Amino acid sequence: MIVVVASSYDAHARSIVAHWESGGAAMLRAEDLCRPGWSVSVPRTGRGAAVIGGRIVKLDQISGILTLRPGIFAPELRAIRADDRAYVAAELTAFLLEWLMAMAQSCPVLNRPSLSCLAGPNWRLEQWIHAAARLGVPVRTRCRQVRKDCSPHTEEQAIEIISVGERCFGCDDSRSQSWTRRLAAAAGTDLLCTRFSLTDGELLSAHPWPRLTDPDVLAAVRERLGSER
Amino acid sequence: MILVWGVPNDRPVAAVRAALERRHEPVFFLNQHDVLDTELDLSVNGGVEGVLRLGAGEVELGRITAAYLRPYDSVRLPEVADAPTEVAARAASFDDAMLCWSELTSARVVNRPSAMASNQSKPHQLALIHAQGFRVPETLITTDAAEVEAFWERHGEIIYKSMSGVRSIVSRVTPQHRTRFSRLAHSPTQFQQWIPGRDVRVHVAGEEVFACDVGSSAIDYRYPRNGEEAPQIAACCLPGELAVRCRRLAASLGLDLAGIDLRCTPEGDWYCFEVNPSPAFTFYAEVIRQPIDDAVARLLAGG
Repeated sequence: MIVVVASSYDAHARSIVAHWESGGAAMLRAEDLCRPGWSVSVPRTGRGAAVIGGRIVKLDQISGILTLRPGIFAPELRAIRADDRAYVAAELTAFLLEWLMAMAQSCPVLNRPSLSCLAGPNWRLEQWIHAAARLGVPVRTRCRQVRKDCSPHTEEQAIEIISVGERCFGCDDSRSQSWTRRLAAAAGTDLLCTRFSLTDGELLSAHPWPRLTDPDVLAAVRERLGSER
Repeated sequence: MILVWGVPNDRPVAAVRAALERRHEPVFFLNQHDVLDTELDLSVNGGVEGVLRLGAGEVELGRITAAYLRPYDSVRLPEVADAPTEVAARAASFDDAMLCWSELTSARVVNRPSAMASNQSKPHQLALIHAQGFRVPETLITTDAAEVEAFWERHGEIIYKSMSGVRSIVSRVTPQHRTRFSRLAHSPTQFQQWIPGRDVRVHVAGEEVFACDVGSSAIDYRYPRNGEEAPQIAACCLPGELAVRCRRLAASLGLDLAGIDLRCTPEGDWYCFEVNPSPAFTFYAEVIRQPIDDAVARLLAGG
């Protein structure tokens, strides 16, 4: 089974699950975390049970996990009393972090969570620029001013590259692809989206949450998540 | 230049500032109450440059050699809480820029926010603690009443507590709780075997280790129900090997300063429960005059 960790309000995540359904994909929603059947132990035992798509699932049935959310957010917990939603959201996020980290020891998790994000490194733009520059990638210096009168940010024309492991999509420029792969490896993330300036080729931005709308990208993600168990 | 970021009446912040003053270290105090009058220019490529301005003073970020961070969420400060949305947004933006700088700077940061995040998931932090060779209480997280009953049966006595960074009172599970077990399905709940013994709080500041005994009959000594349960704090020594392991644990979590909660059972086994990445060390140190503030100041000064 491939597990897609996402909000039930995320239409794109629902479409990915529908696309992979014949291969046994199912969505893990916040609602599933609030159903009987979960059992997780620390110290980790490798045993336990999860509730995925409303069904209780043994952990060894899961062959790969795609995480499409940084955390659980209070407003989506409509079944929880309004006063308790923020607390429950924090609890569910804390729980999912350990569950995903433990699962990453036995199956592919894209992107593997970090301590402050369920889906990859929670780096700010400056951190991506800094890491890329240290790898020798040409970067556009990122300036941030916090003043009473900040000037508006202007968008620049750019090429976008999505990396899925070693494979890159979106642009054939081999140098930009190579830099994207190096940056993804340095950040320890399987999925990465980069934007390079069309004018001078400098890295403008990066983030580990690419939109998975391109069928070729989606197929590469599915392949990386492994075969069905 | 050493940066201290926080509010002046926060006791650890006040203690560290005083300790730095005793050493005559140059300090730039970033008072959070002044957030609306503070400006930051940050420039990042392979290096990190910028300027921090506060009132008449300013400091180039490159001159900051160390930083002690204990900020609150600025939007909850009285100066900001009732301000217009755009003012609150600017305060949040300032916090974010400062936190960004603190992740990137080559200065010593006590502690970097990314390292402090392990405390946001206590079960995950417990797994990390166990991976460092500490005994940890057996822990079950479940939405299933039958699982809790079996866990309770196996351990005899169990407690429950929050998993997230939100503070909660550790409570013992009693037969009266059974009437509430049906609510477990609403959210996974963390249960732990009860470990009897005496609590020991350890503070690691760089290479320095301070330990104190915390005597209390309360399940959670931070929340005594009466005077009899009030914690009695006394300095103590750790077995040498355990002190080394505490240092290693803090280092493995990327923490220069850490508060580590241990318990020693009557049989002499040591368990570790949690690591606090922003410890309010003054709660303990002021009672027994442990110079943790001086150790933090030495750490910041690079001595």
